[in-house]
Amino acid sequence: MSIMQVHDLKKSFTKGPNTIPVLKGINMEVHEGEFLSIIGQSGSGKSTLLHVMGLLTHPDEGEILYGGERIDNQSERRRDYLRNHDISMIFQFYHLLPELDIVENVLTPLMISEGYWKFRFNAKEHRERAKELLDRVGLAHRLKHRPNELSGGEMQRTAIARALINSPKILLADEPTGNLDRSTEGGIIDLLRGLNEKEKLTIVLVTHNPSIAAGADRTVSLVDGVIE
Amino acid sequence: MYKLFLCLRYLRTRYIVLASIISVMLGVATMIVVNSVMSGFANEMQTRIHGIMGDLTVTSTSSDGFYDPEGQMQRIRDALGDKVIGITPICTTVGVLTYKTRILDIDGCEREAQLTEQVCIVGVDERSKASVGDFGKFLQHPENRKALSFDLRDGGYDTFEGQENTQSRGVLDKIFPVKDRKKGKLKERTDMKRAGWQHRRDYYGEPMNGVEIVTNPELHVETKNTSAEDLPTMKQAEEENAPVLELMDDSSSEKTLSDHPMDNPPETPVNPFLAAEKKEAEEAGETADQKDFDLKESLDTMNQPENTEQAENEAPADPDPFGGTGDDPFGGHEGGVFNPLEETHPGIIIGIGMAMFRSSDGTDKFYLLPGRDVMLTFPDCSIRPTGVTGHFTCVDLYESKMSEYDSQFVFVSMQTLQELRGMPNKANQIQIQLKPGSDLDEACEELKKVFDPQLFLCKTWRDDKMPLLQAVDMEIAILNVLLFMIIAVSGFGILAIFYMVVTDKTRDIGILKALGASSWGIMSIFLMYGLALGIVGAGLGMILGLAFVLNINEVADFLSWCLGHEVFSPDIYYFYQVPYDISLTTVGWIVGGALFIAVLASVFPAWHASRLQPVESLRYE
Ligand SMILES: Nc1ncnc2c1ncn2[C@@H]1O[C@H](COP(=O)(O)OP(=O)(O)OP(=O)(O)O)[C@@H](O)[C@H]1O
Ligand SMILES: [Mg+2]
Repeated sequence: MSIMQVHDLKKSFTKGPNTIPVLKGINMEVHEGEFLSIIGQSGSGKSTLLHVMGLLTHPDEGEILYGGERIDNQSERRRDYLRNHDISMIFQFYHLLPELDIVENVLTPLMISEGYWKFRFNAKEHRERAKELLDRVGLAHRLKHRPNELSGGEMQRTAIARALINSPKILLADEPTGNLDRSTEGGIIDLLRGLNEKEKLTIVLVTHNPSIAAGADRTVSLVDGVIE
Repeated sequence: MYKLFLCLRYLRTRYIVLASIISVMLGVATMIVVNSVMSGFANEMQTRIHGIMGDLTVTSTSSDGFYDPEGQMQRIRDALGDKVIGITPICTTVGVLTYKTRILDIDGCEREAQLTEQVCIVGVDERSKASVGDFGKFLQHPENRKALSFDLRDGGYDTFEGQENTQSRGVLDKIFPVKDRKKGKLKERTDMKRAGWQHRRDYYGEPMNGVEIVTNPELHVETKNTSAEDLPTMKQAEEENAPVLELMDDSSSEKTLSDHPMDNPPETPVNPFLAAEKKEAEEAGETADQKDFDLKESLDTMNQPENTEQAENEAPADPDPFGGTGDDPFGGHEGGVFNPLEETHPGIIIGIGMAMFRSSDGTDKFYLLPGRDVMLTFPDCSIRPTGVTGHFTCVDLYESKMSEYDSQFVFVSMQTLQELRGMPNKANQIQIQLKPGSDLDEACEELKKVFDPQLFLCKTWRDDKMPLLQAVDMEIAILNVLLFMIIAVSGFGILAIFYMVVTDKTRDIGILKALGASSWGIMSIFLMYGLALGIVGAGLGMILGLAFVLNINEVADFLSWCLGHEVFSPDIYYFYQVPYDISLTTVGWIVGGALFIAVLASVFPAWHASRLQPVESLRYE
């Protein structure tokens, strides 16, 4: 069963007179519950592909189907909703909000989806859930810390907890270990593996590191703007 | 939820926004202070003008006035019905007020001088005047405030000016009643303690033994007094001939006898013979009738030692001009000698501006006090007007706090004025007080229908002072526009700072969007941010502004103390404290305006933030 399909996706960037084609007709399928890794050289367009799939940007051509529904041309409202509930992302640079502590960072997607009173009403449950998630990623002891007081690995774990708080169907990970050392990297990958196996969470992992890709259920490689 | 949460968090962690909070705060505070003080001044002025004028006036276009004031008043009552709660006729003319006083000269000697003031003479009806306006409130004797009388009082005149009566503090009067917290700053008018019969007796009274007084007839200034004989009640002849006393040490007597340009007007002394005789008598030590007379006077002066020692100008005794010696050629009419110790001339109430001046340390120095006699010269009502001179006894002082009025109005009984001018049963003006809340303009229109516009002018108190009131309103409006610019400037500050914050927060905005935040959500973070900033800034500004206004007099005192000179000098402004009137509507508008500006200034940065594409900021660290 495929959860996400990408058909003939094209995307290019225009800088002045030059047009740089980055994605030149991607066809790809993500199966429900699988751990898919996309491997490719730096600059091959992996991040661009993931951003399009994660609805952060629009493709030039082609379409993306999510659970059979075409989502790339949906209204902003629907896309905002999908980003919030169904399709989560984690990034190479973690992208936590520096003013908030770990728990608040994890709660951000919930704050976005719920109005003030609803959130207030459920605040206790929400906090419990956030702590549970942080416990799961191994950060139970650092709840009150700000992101800048954490190591890279800890920040990435926080970002993973944040990505999971709204129980998404699919997690898009863009080189989550790109800035981490080997052993930390292993920990993060194991965490993702565990999530995939225990929660049946669909994961799409982008990396340029073949050894990480090797741990995935399936690997596709992105070369010169097309999937090989 | 995140919007509020984040905007509060940003507000707390971005210290730069404090700058814009402070600029909003200062703008709001300044506007509140300036508005409150300006409208305090304007209100104070309007209250005073209104109090002086009553609500409506019907004025004769002719200076001779109109016949039958009673009948005219009845016409007004008929026209306006029961709206009229007070009505009084008034007789006005222009004239000259003359009186003598003692002035401390540069050489340290006190010299008598004759002061002449151009005045506006108002004849008022004692019985009905109090029903219109605040006339009564402006008098210095408590009994006169209750019931106007042109009889001299024994004493008991106020020794403090009565500003509290009129000064309004707007809504605050209702919330916190006035405490007399400023009384301490008010200097007591010690001169006023003696005002009344006591002063009159001291001034014109019998001499007692004491130091020698030297008279200097050369200093005796005389003005023309042509019509004295026409008026049987006049006593000025005595005054003309009265020698003027000079109090000084023996050592300085020679000096005093010499010419003093200041006190030597072109008119020649009336009684050179008497002067010469006196000089002679003094030098020779001869005893003569005249000398006795002098001695008496000198003793009289010594009657009030404390006065002579002080620098109070009017205090030392004048020689008794009204027949204390019994040798009065004019005083004998009506079968007796006018005795100032027992009798008075008709009463007159004099604008306080003519009777005193306020020195820069806030004390009031009086030239003239109730109890003294003055002379009034004004045209009569004949076809070819000639001057009429009348003697009056000052019975009270009039202090409306409008220097324009206080320095030119004198009030006498209407009947006296009518008689002296030869216009019985005639008045110049009718002042009308309407029920509170009546439409003055409408009532004025009613009167215009009844009264022939060629003969009568119908006006509301506002019409009369329209240019002044309009000028003040205009001034307030312009000031408000200018001051609002301050808030507008702080709006640009907010804009710049917000733009910086948005640029700074581009990545966070991208993250929020990646997590599902909508463009509107992002925009509202910054709008709320602006609003919160406006609320905090305007709120603090309001508190600061109100605190400043409520304590403006303390602030003025403090500034005076810092700068070493009086900032709010009572002799310039004629208020002993800065008036203010806090209007909740105005404060509301100012705060609302500041909030609006703050939100408006954040619209552009917020819109900019909402347009950011998340990917752009998420690709790199
Ligand atoms: N906004 C943009 N404007 C212009 N060119 C862009 C833009 N975004 C991406 N590119 C170009 O697209 C190409 C692909 O970029 P992308 O970030 O997808 O590569 P990547 O495979 O993720 O590389 P890396 O492994 O280094 O992250 C690059 O050549 C990049 O220069
Ligand atoms: Mg990349």
